[in-house]
Amino acid sequence: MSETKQVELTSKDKVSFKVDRDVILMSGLVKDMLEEGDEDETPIIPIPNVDSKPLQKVIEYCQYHHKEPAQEIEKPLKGKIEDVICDWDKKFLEIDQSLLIELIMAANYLNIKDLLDLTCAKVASMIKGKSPEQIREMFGIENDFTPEEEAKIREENKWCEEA
Amino acid sequence: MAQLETEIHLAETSSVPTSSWEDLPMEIFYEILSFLPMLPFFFKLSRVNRTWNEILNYLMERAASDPRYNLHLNFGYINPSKMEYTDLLKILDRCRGVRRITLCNMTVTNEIVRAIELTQVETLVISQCEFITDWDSRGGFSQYWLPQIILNFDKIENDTRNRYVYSRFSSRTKSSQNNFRAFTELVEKTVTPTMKKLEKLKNVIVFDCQNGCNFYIQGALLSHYLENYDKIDFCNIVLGEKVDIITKDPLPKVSSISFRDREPIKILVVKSQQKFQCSLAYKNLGDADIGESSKDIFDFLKRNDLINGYDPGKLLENIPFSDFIKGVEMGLFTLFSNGKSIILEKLEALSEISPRLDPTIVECFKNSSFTESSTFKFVTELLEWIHKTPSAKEDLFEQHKPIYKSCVKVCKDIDKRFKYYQTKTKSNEEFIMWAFFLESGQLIKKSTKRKAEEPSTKNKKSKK
Repeated sequence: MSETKQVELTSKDKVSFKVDRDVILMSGLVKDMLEEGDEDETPIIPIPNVDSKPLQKVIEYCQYHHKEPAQEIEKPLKGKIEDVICDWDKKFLEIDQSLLIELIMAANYLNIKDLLDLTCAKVASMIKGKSPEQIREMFGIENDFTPEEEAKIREENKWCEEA
Repeated sequence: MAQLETEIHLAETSSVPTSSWEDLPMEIFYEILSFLPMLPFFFKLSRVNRTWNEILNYLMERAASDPRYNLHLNFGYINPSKMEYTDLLKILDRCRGVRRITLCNMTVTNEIVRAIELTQVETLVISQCEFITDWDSRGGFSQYWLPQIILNFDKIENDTRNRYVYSRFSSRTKSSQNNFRAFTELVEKTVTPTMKKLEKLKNVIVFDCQNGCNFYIQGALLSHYLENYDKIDFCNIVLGEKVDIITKDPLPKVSSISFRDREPIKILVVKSQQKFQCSLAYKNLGDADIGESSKDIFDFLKRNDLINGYDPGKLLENIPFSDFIKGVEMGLFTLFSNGKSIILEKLEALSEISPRLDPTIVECFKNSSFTESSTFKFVTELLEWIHKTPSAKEDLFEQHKPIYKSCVKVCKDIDKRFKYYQTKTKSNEEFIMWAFFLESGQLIKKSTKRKAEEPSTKNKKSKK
C-alpha cells in the first residue's frame, strides 16, 4: 500500500501545515504550482497572502469536501443559505466576520471556487432582508455620504424602498 | 489505507486579522452580489456608503465590457406592473452593463425598447408582457402585422428598398427555398449598413406573452430545428440544421436573423399552457411540449430564471394535487402570499360549486357531481395534507390566522348551504362538515342534520 504524498504549505505568518497532496489539489493555485514544480518528496509551497488562521480553515474545508463534494449553491439565493447547505458547512461558517472576510480572500487567492461560493453566499445571505442602515451596523461600515447626497440617492431609488 | 492527519506547526504569535469590508476587491464584491438579484438589491445597497455606491454603479453601468462579469437584470424579482413607468426606464438606463435582461409582467413600449438598445444585452427575455409599439405610425405593414415589438435594426422609413423586398417576399416568393435565400441575401445587403444598435444581442425569447407569436425582428428570418428543446437554456440556444421556412413540419423550430459580420440572432417563442405544459411556437409553424410534469416545467423555469414573477395561477388551473405538492416542495408555489392563500382560493372555488341558498338552484344541485369535481378532490387532499404536514399546519393555524379565519367563514358558509339543501330536499345523502374538516383534518361524512351537528358541538366542548 503506497503512502499518500504530502505538501507543506507555509502561511504569511510563517506557520507550516502538512496536508495530503490530493486534498490540497482542490486549490487551483496550488495545483498549478505543483504541476510546474519538481516531484519533491514533500514540496514546500509558500502562501504569502494568507495568514495561518484562515489557511487552517481552508485546509479543514478541503479535507472534508475532498471526499464529500460540495453542492452547487443556486444563484440568486432563494432563501437563507442555511436552507441549501449541509450541516458540516453550517458549522464551518460559525466564525466571526473578520475571519469570514479573510476566508473569502483566501478562497479567492487559492482559487477554490466552492469555498469562495460558500463564503460569498454566506455574506449575501447576511445582507438579504436588511436595510442599508442595518448593513452598516452589521459590518461596521461608516456612512460617509453627506445628508444631501444620501437624500438624493434615496429619492432616486425610492421605488426599491417600497419593493 | 493509511490515514494521514494534517500536521500543523503553529508560530508562537498568531497574526492579528486586519481585513475589513472595505478591503474586498471588486471581483469579490461581484461574487457576493451574484447571489442576490440585481433588483432591488443593487439599488438598495448603493445607499450603504460611497465605496459600495461606486462599485455598484460601475457594475451596473460598465460590467458588460469586462468578461469576468455577467449581470442579469430580471424584472421578475420586483413587481413592474405596480411601478411608475419612468422608474422602469430609469432602471434600464442605469443598468447599461447587463448582458441579460428579463422583462416581466410589464408593458413593453418603444421607450422601453430604446432604453434596452443602450445596454450591452446579449439575451433578451420578454416574459408575460404586453407589447405596445408605434409600428403603425412608422408606416409599417399594419394590414399584415398586429401590434408587436420591433427591435431597431434598420430604419424602414428610410429604406424603401427593404420595404419593397419584404412586400415582394410576402406575396410572391414563399414557394421555394431558393427564392427565400435570394431574399435573405438581398435583405442582408440592405439592412446591415443601417444596423447600429444591439450589437451584442444573441438571443431573444418571448415567453408567455399574449401576442407572443407576433413578435418580430425586422429583417431576414431563417428557420432551424431546435436541438434539445426539452433542455432549453435561454442563454445558449443551440441551432439545429436549417429548415425550409415554408414547410408544414410540426417540429419545434428556432428562427434566426442573420447579418453580415456577426452571429445570427436566435429568436424563440415559448408559450405555457395549462397543466404544466409549455410549448414552443413560432407563428403557426407548430407546437411541441417542453414537458408535462411539474418537474419538467419547474426545471425549465428554474434553468431560465423565470420562477420569480411567474404567475403560478396559470399552472394551478386543473392541476392534479400530486403536481401541486411537487410544485410546493420545489418552491414554485407557496401556500400563502400577499394576504391570500391557495387554500382560501380553492375553498372559495368549492363554495361556488356548492348548493346555493336559492330554492330554484337547490333543485339543480347534485351532490354526486360536486364530489366528483376536481376542486372537491383538490380541497380534500389539500386539507388532509396540511394536517399531516407540521410546517403547513403551523402556517395555517399560527402564522396566517386572518387567512384561517377567512377559511373558517367560507367553510361555515358551505356547511350552511348543505344544511339548507338537506332541509329543502329532505335528502339522506352524505355530506362533509367542512368547518370541522378544516379544523381537524378529519373528513367525516354525515347523512342527517342531527348527526351533522355533532362534530362542531364536540369541538366546542373540547375547546372549553
